[in-house]
Amino acid sequence: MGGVLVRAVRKLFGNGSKKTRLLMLGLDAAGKTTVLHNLALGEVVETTPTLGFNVRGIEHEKLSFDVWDVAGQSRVRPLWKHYIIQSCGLIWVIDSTDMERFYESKDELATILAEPELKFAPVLILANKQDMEHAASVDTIIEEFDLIDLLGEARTWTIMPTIATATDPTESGLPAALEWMATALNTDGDS
Amino acid sequence: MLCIGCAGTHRAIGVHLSFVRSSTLDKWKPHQLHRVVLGGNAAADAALASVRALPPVTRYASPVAQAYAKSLTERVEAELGAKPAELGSAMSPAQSAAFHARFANATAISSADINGDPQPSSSNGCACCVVM
Repeated sequence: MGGVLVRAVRKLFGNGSKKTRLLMLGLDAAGKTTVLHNLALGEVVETTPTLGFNVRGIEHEKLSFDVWDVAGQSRVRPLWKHYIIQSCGLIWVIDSTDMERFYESKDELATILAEPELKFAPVLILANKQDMEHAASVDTIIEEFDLIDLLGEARTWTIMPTIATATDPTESGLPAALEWMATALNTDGDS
Repeated sequence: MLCIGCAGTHRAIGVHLSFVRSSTLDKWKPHQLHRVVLGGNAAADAALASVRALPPVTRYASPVAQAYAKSLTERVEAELGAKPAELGSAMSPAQSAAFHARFANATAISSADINGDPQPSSSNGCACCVVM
């Protein structure tokens, strides 16, 4: 299904080295940059608000990802669509404690999902900051974001709890999340 | 007003205690702007003087900081005549003009504070933080 398109896109852009581009978005302060640093370096750093974007290459078994982490402040969100081109998968990061802005996050997610270039892209949602006292559970977020309805049956998607500030891979949940994305892309695309 | 280094520290505290908004990259609602004008760095510094030595999370979770945040909320509500949740996202042109005149002053004062120390030594070493 989506695999044909992913494969076609890879061929079109000479993706012989299988450098798969993943786009990571979400509201400001969701934890995108912390996720990126943790995934790429296994390190937890105190980040500052991202101006523009960060890109890091991440090796995962046979796959090689370029993960793009783009600033999330309200005025720069209209620029997100310019980062979509050539992106094979979307990672959406949610601050699970920021319930006041769940609707805003859902609204922005709906906007980005409507982009035709992402029609077949697997969507990995990270319910981040699960270590914090006020964090909403994955189930609550599925309900609050109306995810079943928003993402539909046709798309490959999942939501996973994460703690981007945990250095322990099991505790952070990030390697498992990346594993899911790798599998989703491999199942969909050429392996 | 705070520098980008302190913004990182504040974001790590959690949105239930401190919310960071960019002066250039974010859209602001009237009650959020009023909060900065009615509060501001000098007032926050004075209100939190007794808990200044505490680490960030403890400091902003302290009864002193919570009481200050609550009083600020009440003053914003009194000024706007409504609770933030009841306010629309848009200001009328007159509101906007009046506000910008006040905000320009507030910004000038805060910028002067920050510019007085052009190179904040570290995210914890600068005195440019405000309770949001």
